[in-house]
Amino acid sequence: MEQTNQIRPQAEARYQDELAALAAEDGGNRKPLGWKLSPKAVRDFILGRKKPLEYQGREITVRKKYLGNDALVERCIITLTGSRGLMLVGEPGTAKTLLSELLSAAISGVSTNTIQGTAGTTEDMIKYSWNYALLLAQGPCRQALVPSPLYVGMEQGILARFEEITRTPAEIQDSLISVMSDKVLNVPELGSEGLLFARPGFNVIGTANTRDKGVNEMSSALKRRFNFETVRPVGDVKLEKEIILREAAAMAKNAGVEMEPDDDAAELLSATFHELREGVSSMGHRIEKPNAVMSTAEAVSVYYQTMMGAYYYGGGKIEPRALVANLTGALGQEPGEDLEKLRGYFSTVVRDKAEEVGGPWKAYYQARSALK
Amino acid sequence: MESVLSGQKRPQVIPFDLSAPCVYFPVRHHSPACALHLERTLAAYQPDCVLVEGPENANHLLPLLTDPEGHPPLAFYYALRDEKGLLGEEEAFYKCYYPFLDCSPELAALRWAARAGAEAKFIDLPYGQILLASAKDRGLRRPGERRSYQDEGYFSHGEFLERLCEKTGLRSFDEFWEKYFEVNSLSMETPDFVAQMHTYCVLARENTPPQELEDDGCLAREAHMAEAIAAACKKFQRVFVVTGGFHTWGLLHPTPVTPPAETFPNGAEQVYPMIYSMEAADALNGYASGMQSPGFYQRVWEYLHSDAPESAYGQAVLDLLASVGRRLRHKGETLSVADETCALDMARGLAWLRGKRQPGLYELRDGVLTAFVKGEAAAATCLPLEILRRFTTGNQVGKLPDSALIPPLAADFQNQCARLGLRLKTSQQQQTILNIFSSQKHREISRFFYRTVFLSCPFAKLVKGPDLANQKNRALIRETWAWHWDGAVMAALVEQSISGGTVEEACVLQLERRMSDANLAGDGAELLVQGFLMGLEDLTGKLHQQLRTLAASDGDFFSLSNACKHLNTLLEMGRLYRQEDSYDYAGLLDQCFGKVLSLLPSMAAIKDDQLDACLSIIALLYELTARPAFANRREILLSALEALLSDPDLHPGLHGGALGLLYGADPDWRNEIETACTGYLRGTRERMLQSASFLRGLFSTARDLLLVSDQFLPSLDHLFSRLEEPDFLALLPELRLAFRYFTPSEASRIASRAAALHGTTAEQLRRRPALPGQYAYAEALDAWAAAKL
Repeated sequence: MEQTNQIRPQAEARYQDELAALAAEDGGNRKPLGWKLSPKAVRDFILGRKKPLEYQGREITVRKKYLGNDALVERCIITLTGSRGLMLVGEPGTAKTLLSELLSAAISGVSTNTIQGTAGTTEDMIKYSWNYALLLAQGPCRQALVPSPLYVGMEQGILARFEEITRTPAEIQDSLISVMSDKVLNVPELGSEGLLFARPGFNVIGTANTRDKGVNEMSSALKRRFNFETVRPVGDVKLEKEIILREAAAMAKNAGVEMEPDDDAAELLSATFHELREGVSSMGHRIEKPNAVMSTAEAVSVYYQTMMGAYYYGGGKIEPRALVANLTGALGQEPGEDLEKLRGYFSTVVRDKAEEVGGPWKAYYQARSALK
Repeated sequence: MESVLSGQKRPQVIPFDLSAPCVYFPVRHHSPACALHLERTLAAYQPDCVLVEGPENANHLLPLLTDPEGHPPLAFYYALRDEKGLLGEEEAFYKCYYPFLDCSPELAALRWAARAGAEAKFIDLPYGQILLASAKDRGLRRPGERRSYQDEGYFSHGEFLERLCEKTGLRSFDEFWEKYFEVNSLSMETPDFVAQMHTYCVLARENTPPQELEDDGCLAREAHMAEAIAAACKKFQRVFVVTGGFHTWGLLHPTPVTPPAETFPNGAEQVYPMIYSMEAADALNGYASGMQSPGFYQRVWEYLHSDAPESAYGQAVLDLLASVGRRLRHKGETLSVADETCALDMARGLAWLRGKRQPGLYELRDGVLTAFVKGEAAAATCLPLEILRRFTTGNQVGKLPDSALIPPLAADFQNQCARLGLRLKTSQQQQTILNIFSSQKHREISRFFYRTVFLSCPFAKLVKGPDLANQKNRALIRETWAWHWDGAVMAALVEQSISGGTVEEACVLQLERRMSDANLAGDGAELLVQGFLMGLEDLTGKLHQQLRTLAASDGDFFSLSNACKHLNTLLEMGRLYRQEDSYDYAGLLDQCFGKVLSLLPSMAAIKDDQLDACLSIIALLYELTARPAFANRREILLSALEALLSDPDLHPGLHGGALGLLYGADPDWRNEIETACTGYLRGTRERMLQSASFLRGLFSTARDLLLVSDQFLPSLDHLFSRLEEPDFLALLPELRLAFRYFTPSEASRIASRAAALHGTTAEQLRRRPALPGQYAYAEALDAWAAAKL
C-alpha cells in the first residue's frame, strides 16, 4: 500500500523494514504455527532491541514502540500462543489499540483484519453476511458469502482484532463464544461444506474501555474465553513526555510538517496530565481530579494541535498561551466543572512551580488567562 | 549477566580453591540457591571449622538453631539499653533481629557443622560494638522499628543496580536475582556460581563510596571478622567462612579501623533466641531484608531436597497455582482446571521468553494475574493475587527446642495461651468472641488479652465490646478480639521480661510503676480500671494508697472528674464482671467527689470545648447523690451549684445544666429557668446568641422540663417567634445540638405541640405549599378529568 496517500499508514507498512529484518534474523527460533515471527522476535519488535540488525546491507534499528509495562507485553504474547483470546482493558487513551495493532502486525503480518465494535454491530458483522446479488444468482456458495474479519482470521490463520468489544450489545458479543472455544464456525447455508475450521495462527485480540459511557457488560462465559490484561496509564512523567514527543513527531512527519520538537512544552504537558490524573503534584499538592480522562493520547493530541497552530499561524514556535488554550480542549466532554479544576491547578501547582522551578513554568503560569 | 560482565573493567575475582586452608563462601540471606551450593561445597571441602557472619555474643545460643526439637523460622533478638548515653541522648533502647529460615545459607552451614561435629561460631562484632562503630542514623542505627541485622542495602540498591536491571531488561533487583542467581544457577557448577557471586558482589562494592562503608560500621565489622578468621586459621586446618557476598572482598583486604574506646557495661546488652514467622521474614512487608516471599522459596527449598531437584521451581509454581485455585473455589469463585492450565502455560511460556530455565515467582504472579483475574484488574477483582500473596509469604511459625532458655515471661505467655486454648501454630490473624458476663473461661481469656495489651505486646486488639477505660459502649455484653501471633509478640515479651517472670507479675509491676509515675488522680483511676479489666487484685493495697495520695494532692477539676467517672464505672461494673474485690472504690470515689465539689464553684468560666465534660460530671455527681452511700452530699452539691449561678462569668451552657439539676431537686426552680431563658433570648445580640448554649445545658440535665411542664414550651415558643429571621438562623445550628438530647419520638411530640400553638400540625408544616402555577394546572386537570368522566 502507498504510504503517502494515507493519513496514518498501518503498523506493518510503517515498520516494514523492521519486520523484514526481524524475520530474516529469526531463522532458527521456534515459532508457533501460523506465526510470522517467533515470540522473542515479536517481543523485540514491540519492546525494542538493543543491537541493530543487519538487513540487506543496511543497519536496521528496532526501537521500542510500546512504552509502558514490558511484562504486560510479554504476557500478551504468551497468551496469543495459547488457545485463549487476549482482552486488553483499561481507560481510554492508554494505547490498547496501538498494542493490539503492533501484536497483529508482528504475529500475522497484517493489522487490518479488524471488527469495529459499536452499539449497532450485529452478529453477521462478526461472523459472515451475504452478497445478495450473488446469492440470488448462484444460491448459497462461498463466492456469495461476505466473510467477516473473524471469518478471514480463521480461514487464513491470522489474528482478528475486535476493537471496542464492550460497545457491542452483550448478546452479540456472545456469538464469539463457540468460535473461541471450538475454533470452528458453522455456515449452515453451505451444507456439508459449511464448516470452517480455524487454521493455526488464528486468535482474537479484543480491546475494551472501562471508563466511557455506553459500554456493555461482558458475559462470564465470554470472559472465560479470554485472558485479561489491564492496561494502565503511563505512571512515569519522563516516559509520558517521551511518548508525547515521539507520537507528535510521527504524526507531523505524516502530515509533512517539519518542526523542531519542543521539550519544554512536552514536559509541561506530561506533568500537567500526570498530576491531574493522579490527583497529587510532584510537590505534594492535593489536586481535584477532573472527570475527563486525562490520557496520554489526549496529551499527544493537545501537543499536536498546538504544534499545528504554531506551524500554520504562528512563527513555528509553540507559545505557552496556545498550549494552555488547547488544554481546555482535553476537557471537551464535561467542560464546566473540569475547567474550574484546571484553573485550580494553575492557581496552586503551576503558581508554586513558577516560583520554585521557574523556567517554562513561569511562562505557563503567565498564560493562565487563556483558560476559557 | 553475560552482557553485564563483559564491561571493560573486569573486577578482580576472588579465588575459590577447595584445596586452600580457608574458603570464603559468599551468600545472600534466605537464598535457596546459595544454601544449596553451600551444602555441596561443605560436602566437598569437609571443613573442621565453620565461621558465620553474626554478632558473636550469640555464640552460646547457636546449638538451639540446629536442635532437632525446634524448627525455623527462628531469630536471635539483640537488645541494648544505652543508659550511659554512649550513642547519644535521643534513644536509650536499641534492638535488632537476625532471622533464620530453612533456606538460609547461614543455617545450612550451622546445621552441617552440627552434623559433622565441626566447630561453628559467629565472628562479627557484638551488637553493641557494631552500634558504636556506626555513625548516627546509619547502619544498624538507622531509624526504624524493626531493624534486621542482615542489611543488604548495598547489595540490592544503588545506581549500579538500576543500570544493571535496565540493561538486562528486568523489572527489579529481585527479578534479576531470581533469574541469574536462583533459577538459572541450579544447573551451574558450584565454582561457576561462586565466581558469579563474587563478581557481582565486587561490582556492587566498587560502586559503593568508601565513606558509606565506614559510616555503616561495615569496615570495623570486616576488620574484626578478618581477625577472627586469621585466629581460626591458626587453630584449624580447613576453615569455611560464610558471610554476605558483599563482605568477602573486605575480609580479604581489611581496612584497619580503630575500635571504639568505650564499651557498654555488663548486662546492657542481651540476646535471646525467639520464635519467628514467615510473615515477619517477608521483605515485602517492609521491615525485613533478604528475599521476599519466603513461603515460595521454602517450597523451592523443599523440592531442592526431593527426588527431582532440577525441576524445583517448576514444581513450586505448579503447587502454588493449584493451591490458589483450590482456595479460590473454596471461596465460591468460579475457576476451572482450564484456567489453572492456562496459568501454568503462561508461567512456562514467560520463563522461556525471558530466558529462564524454569518459571519463578514473577512468572507465577504473571500467570495468576492473566488467567485467574477476570475483567479489569482492580481491588475488587484481585482476590487471586491477594491469595497468592498469602501463599507466597507463608504462615509458618517456628518452634524453639524445649531446652531453649526463653525468658520465663515468654514461657508463661505460651503456657497461658495453651491453657486458654489460643493456638499459636500460625501467624494468621484470628478472631475470638467472648461472652464475658456468662463464661468464666471467656472472662479469663479477656483478662489475658487485656494483660498483653497493657504490656504493649502486639498480640491482641479489642475490635468491639465495652470500652470501660474510654467510657464507651458500656451496654455491650460481648467482646470481639482480633489476635495474631508473630515474632513481634515474642520480641515485646522479651523486652518486658525484666518486669517479671509471669504475665501477671509483669502486669502488676508495670501497673504499680505507672501508678507511681502518675501525677493526676484521673490517670491513676484509669490505671485502676485497667487493673480491673486485667483481673489484678491489689493485694498489698499499694495502688489504693497511691490513688488516695494522688487524689489528695490533685487540684485539677477535670482530672478529679475523670477519676470519679472511672471509680463509678468500677463500682457499677464490679458485679457484672464478677470482680467485687478488695478495692475500696466507694471510699476513693467519696474522696474525689468531695474534692470536685469544693472546686465546682470556681468552674464557672469554662471554655466551650470543656462544656460537655463539665455537664457530664455535674450530671454524674447528681446521679451519685441519689444513692444512699452519697445521699449526704446532695445538699452540698446543690449549694455548690447555687454558688456557681451567682458567678457573673458563668458559661451559659453550664448555667442551663446547673439550673436543670436544681429544678430536678426542686421544681420551684422552673420560674428561675424561665427568667434566665427570657433573659438570654431577649438580651443583647451577644447574649441572645448564647441562648442555644443555655438550652443545650438545660436539656442535658432536665429535658423533662419541656415534656412535662405545660407552660415552658409556649413561653419558649413565644420567645423564639419574637426573634428576627437572621438571628434565628444564626441560632439554629446550636439549637439542633440542644434538641439532640431528646429521643426521636420525644422530639416529634414537642414538634406537634409547637405546631399546635400555631394552629397547624407537624405534617402540614412539613408539606411544601404548591406554587400558584402548579395549583392552577392541577385545578384545570381536575376539571378536565371531571368533564371527561
